[in-house]
Amino acid sequence: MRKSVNHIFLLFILFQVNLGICGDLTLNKLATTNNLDPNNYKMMSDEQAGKQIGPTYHYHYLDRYHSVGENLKNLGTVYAITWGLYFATQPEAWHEGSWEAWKKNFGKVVFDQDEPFWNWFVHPFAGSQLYLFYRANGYSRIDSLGMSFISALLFEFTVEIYTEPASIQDIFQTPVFGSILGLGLETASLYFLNSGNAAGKVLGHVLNLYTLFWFYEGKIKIVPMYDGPKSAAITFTETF
Amino acid sequence: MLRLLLILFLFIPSAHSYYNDWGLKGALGMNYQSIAGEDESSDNIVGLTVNTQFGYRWDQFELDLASYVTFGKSHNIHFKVGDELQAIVSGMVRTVNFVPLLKFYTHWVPIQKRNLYFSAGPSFSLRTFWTNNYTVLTGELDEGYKITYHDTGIFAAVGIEELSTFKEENPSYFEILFGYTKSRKITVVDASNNQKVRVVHSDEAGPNIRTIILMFNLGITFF
Repeated sequence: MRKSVNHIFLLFILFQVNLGICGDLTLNKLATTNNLDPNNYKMMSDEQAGKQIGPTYHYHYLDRYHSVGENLKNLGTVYAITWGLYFATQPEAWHEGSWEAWKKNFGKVVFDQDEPFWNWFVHPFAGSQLYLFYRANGYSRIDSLGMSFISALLFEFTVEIYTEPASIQDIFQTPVFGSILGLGLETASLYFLNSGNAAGKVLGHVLNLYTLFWFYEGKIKIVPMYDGPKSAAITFTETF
Repeated sequence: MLRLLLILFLFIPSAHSYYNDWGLKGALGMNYQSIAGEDESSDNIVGLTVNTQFGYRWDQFELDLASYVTFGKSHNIHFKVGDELQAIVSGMVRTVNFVPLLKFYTHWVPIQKRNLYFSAGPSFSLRTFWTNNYTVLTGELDEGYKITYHDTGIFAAVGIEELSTFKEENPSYFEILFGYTKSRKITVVDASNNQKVRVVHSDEAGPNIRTIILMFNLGITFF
């Protein structure tokens, strides 16, 4: 029985090592202490192992339930930011639009005649950032898409109508294409963030800036502890 | 025979990867379009398709909002915008089709681990022709202008979707889609400044402007 437990524990460690979460500092000691053949595992001296003791971080996404209040708070935050960003990135829109146009455009949906640059790059990119924002806040992939859809609807029907009617392409392509792009960015950034090297981490954060913000819920602190041959443990700490 | 089909469709169980849940799918494909223009001009276009579908699935039914964006190149299509402009145009053509799609998943598994579905819905489209080469018959057409059609029509598809235990396995699908659209409105747009496009002319489309579409799409469920 004890041997089985030891095997399970060793397999767990191997699994974590495979994921790149922690180094294999304890493998040689574990193998020796548990009467397993240490030659079957990657060996590391105690000096090497000692250098690796200290916290490391693993990045992932934590999907959890959100209350209605939290949903409204997140939607409200994004909505306020879209008002600011719309006029910050297109200052001429303030002069081209008007509150009269806002009233006239309210409730209208049209096919816009915009160039592919806007419909195929700007809006999907904006959608990917919405998706990643909600993912960082603990929403599942499909919930992030749903929240992005609501945010896109709010933007199209109450912000952009200051200058032009809501566009059916933007309403669909911002959250849908954005989520597909966001999924790609999410996958790539997690790969680089967990690659274990500094350049990869930088690239991972650049691809997914929300991993740097306080509201990102998927950062796990891992503290390997090794105190001689009889004591080895890993502590996982996640804050949300 | 009818009884056999009923048994196949209704009573042989199959396992979809998810029920009572939302899903997002995406596909790439090829399309063939037969476009009829003014004065009996016509063209056949072969191009690429990008397809996305977002919707909710119950047991056998699914309601999606789908987009089919097609790309291709047209040759010598005759356009007429009221009495203001007549031209023969060749160039890139892109169509954005939005389709509220109702899908019915049968329980029939015609190919190993893939079951059959049917889908159909009305389509709302914007077809854009870039005027790379053009001959003006009457009126004025400048470099950087594009001609757009607003179409409505119907799309119907038959497809197979991979049966998997979990949505996370990204079940794949393949569908053959037929579409028929008719143009309602034609617009000439000045897109020489891509920051700010300008509608130059707009009119009702001629009665014979229509498109027949055939698509082959291969895709996966993302999540």
